[in-house]
Amino acid sequence: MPENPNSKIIKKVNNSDYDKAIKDFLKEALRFENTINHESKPPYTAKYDTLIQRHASKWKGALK
Amino acid sequence: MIIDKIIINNFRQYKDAEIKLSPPDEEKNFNIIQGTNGAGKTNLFNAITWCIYGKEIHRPIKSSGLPLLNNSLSENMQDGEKEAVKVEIHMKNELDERVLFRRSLQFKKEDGKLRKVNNSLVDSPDGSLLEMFRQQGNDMQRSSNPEISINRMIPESIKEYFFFDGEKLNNYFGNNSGEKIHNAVFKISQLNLFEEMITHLENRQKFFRRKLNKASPETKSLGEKIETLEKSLENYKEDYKNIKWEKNAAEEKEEEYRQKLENANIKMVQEYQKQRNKVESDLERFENEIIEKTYERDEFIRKMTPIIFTYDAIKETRLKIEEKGETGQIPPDYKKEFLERLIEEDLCICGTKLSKNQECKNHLESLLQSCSDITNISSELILENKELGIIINKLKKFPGKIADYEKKIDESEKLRRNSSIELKNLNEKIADVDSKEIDEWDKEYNRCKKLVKDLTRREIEHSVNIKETENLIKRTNKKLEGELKKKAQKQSLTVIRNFCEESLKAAKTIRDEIMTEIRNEVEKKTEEQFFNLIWKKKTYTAVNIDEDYNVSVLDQFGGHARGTLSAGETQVLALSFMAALNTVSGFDAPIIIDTPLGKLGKEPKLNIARNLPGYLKGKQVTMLVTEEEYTKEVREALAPRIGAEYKIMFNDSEKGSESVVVPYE
Repeated sequence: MPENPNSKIIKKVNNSDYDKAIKDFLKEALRFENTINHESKPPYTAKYDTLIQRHASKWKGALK
Repeated sequence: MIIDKIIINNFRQYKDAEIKLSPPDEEKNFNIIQGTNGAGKTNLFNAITWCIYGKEIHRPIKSSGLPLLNNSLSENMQDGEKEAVKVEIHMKNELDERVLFRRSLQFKKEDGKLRKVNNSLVDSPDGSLLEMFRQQGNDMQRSSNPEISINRMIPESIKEYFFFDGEKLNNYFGNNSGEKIHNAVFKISQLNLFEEMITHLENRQKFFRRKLNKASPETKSLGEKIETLEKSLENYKEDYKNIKWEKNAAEEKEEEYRQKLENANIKMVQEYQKQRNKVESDLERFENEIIEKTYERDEFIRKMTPIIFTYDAIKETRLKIEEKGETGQIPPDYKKEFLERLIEEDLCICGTKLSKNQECKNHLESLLQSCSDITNISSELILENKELGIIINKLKKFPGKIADYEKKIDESEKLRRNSSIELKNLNEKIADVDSKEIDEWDKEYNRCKKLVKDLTRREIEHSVNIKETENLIKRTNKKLEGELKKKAQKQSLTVIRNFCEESLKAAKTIRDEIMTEIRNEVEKKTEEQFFNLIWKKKTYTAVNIDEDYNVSVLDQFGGHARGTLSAGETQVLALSFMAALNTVSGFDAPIIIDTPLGKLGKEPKLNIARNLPGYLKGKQVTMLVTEEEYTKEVREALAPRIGAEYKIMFNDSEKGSESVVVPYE
């Protein structure tokens, strides 16, 4: 059973011109949303903070 | 995701049915199940939706209220006998791994009536149990949360776009259909995941922004403050060093002139100087005594102040405790706890069993009732009263003690004054000696003495300043350390906030682009398919889907023609739209259509049979068709695309009716 979101969405994110860190973050956040979609109280705050911090550290835009 | 096999046991008219569906390949992607009206097509359709969602989506009116369990089976069940309805859907994912969903519901015959057997582990509305098994190597392992997996596969809210009821397809273009279609596109394309992500990301962005606003480092001003303080400290230390050096020099000089005066060749001066040394020493001692005694007195007052202020309350408390003592409440004759324990242990103080002596028991109970709650703390109150007495006595001695301190201070003051007068006299006597040299020495001695005193005061002042400045530097450094941490945090927070902003921008842009692309593509494919299937090629010129997802068909004059479409044409439009939506969305799920061609004439039926399979290439489509829909021509047109073909046979006998699914002959 795939936990990846719709392949069209992933393809679109991959083909966009955004920084790799942003694309990776979006894909991982979408995958997470797809996984927690039906939980009553998903732990999104902690997960998002971890994801943001991890991907922001690799973001080239941080140097700007 | 495709359906590999459907197994039905005891579901309505199906006792044992197994339908193996064909997976889609380059040529064949259609499965046909044909049955006459009433043979059980809709119940087969319902068996599938019941297995997946626990609901019969298209339940015919005639079966409403009837139990799911096969009628002839339930009729032949004996009292106490149990039977179950079971539907299994065997699926395969894109990696060719097997996934099995099984829903079952048990029934029991009781007093001639059929009842559902309750399962405490089940929380589905009809009491049925859904199980899921996944392939792990060669085995099938039970998996948890089957509902969640189903909702990921085909969310219930959009089930009607995968489990079509051909008869109801035109309902999709009714009132408010735009919003419905918009939501369908959103859900099928999983753009709702973007919405969720954007909402969550916006929340985190706000959080980081607030955190960033709080992190306002004062590192610059604190750094400057430390620099200024360090300069001051340096100056204080330098001054202190000079003062100490000057003081040492002045002390040496003072000593030099003191010795000169002591050793002067005038006997009288020697004597005066010796006396002056003693008086000066006494004077210093008395001055120190005054300082010490004043400090002691002030400390005593400080300690007594709270007692002085609470004197009235202490007095009142003592009075109250004494009153309790006078009325006999404290100390108590009996302790309440003691009486309670006796009653509880069923034992009198004399050793008699209370249960054997009711009179004794009654007496103890009446004593217990007369006991006040205060008896439990009476010993504490008595002790407290003693303490309060000691405090009051201390307070009574307060004026006398203060008078003692004052007396001692006065005595020292008197002695200091006398020494001071004596010193003044001695100074005058030395000054009166008729000797220029002695006069000069004395002046120098006094000047040096005064200088030493001044320098000592300045030395103390500087020492205090140095200590205070050092402490201030320490505190400021600590603050600076904290601010530096904040500064580092601010830098990383700025990156995080900017990252959130950039990600949000990207998420919204990508979402909007996908939305537009899907709408344009659905519009293009619907139009393409509609014109492939429709027979009035010249009457209609375009299919439009506006931004609000309202579907319209334009006629050759550019006017909106949807209102004038026949039932069959609307069905073609709906079929075209749903097929387009499925192809474009990228959502991977099998399609099952019940009675797709029912409202269509001969030509449109053939058109659909020729075009729809190619249009839905790669998608597994299962059609439940009537004899009227599945004509010889339709079958021939569909033949190259059909992977599996079945017929529903309906056996109506006295023992009960039954539907069986057999390969199409």
